[in-house]
Amino acid sequence: MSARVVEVRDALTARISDWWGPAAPNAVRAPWRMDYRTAELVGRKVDVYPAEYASENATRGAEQSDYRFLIVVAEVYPDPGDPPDDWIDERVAWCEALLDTLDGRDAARLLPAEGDPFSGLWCELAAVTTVFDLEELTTRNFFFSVLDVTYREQA
Amino acid sequence: MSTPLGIKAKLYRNTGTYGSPTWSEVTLISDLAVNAQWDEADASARSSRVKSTAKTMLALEFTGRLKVVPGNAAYTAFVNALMSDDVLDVLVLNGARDVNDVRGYRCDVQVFQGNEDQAMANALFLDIVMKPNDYTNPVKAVLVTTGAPTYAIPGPDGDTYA
Repeated sequence: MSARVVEVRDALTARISDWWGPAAPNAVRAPWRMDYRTAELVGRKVDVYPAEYASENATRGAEQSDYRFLIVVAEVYPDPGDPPDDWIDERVAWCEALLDTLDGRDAARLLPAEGDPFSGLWCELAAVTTVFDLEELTTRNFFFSVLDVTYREQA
Repeated sequence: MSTPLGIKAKLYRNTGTYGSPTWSEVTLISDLAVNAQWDEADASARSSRVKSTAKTMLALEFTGRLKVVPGNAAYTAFVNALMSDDVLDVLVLNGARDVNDVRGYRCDVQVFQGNEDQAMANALFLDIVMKPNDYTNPVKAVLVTTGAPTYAIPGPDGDTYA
């Protein structure tokens, strides 16, 4: 039996993968260790890390639980020289589109119970906390962006 | 007995008859408050320089937050009661109805208010106000003894648990 936070992480990972449809070497992953060796990194990697979770009573019969995740978008500029602005523009825009997909008002809930459209987790908070890491981009031609999302359920 | 907690308090709805109630716990409720306030009459006389006050009428009111769950039987009953003159037979207790010394009220109530804050980031709850209704069955004070509710009618002598 998996922890609930792992079930939610896996559902979130699948949601991103379904939306993006990555082709190798691009990938959506769910690692536990944050290890970006830029010499070995090929393609765009989207990594989902559980950050925290908490529960409180929502009603006398149900709990409200929040699950927070950090989504790292990592990609090394593959060509010699510095990455051009439009390469960076494209990735920043991609992150914005990912955020819009996850927190859009019509976004489907994660892990809904079959036949109950009011069940499952919804995106309560979503933010891009690091649009890009200036030092990584400057020193390693490494695009590194972080999205911070919180999913909530009452069950 | 451990310290009573709000989370362990109970709101029941009768889905049977008044005489043979079927108590169904309303677990969709979150915060609930029992507000009991006596009106006062000045009973002062020349016999004393200390003001004297007498109880007259008991204003009884229950306020609570009900989670919005479309299709749920309890939610539907409360919304229907809000939208109509429907009367609900409820048991409002500070614990379970089979735990000795638990107290509360049994009332025929109408739902007088239902506020729903639909702010974009909210999970939806209906803030309700219930008050006793002028109906066939009088309000009863409840005390659980030997594992079951016993009832008394709050009266002018204050003999609520005769």
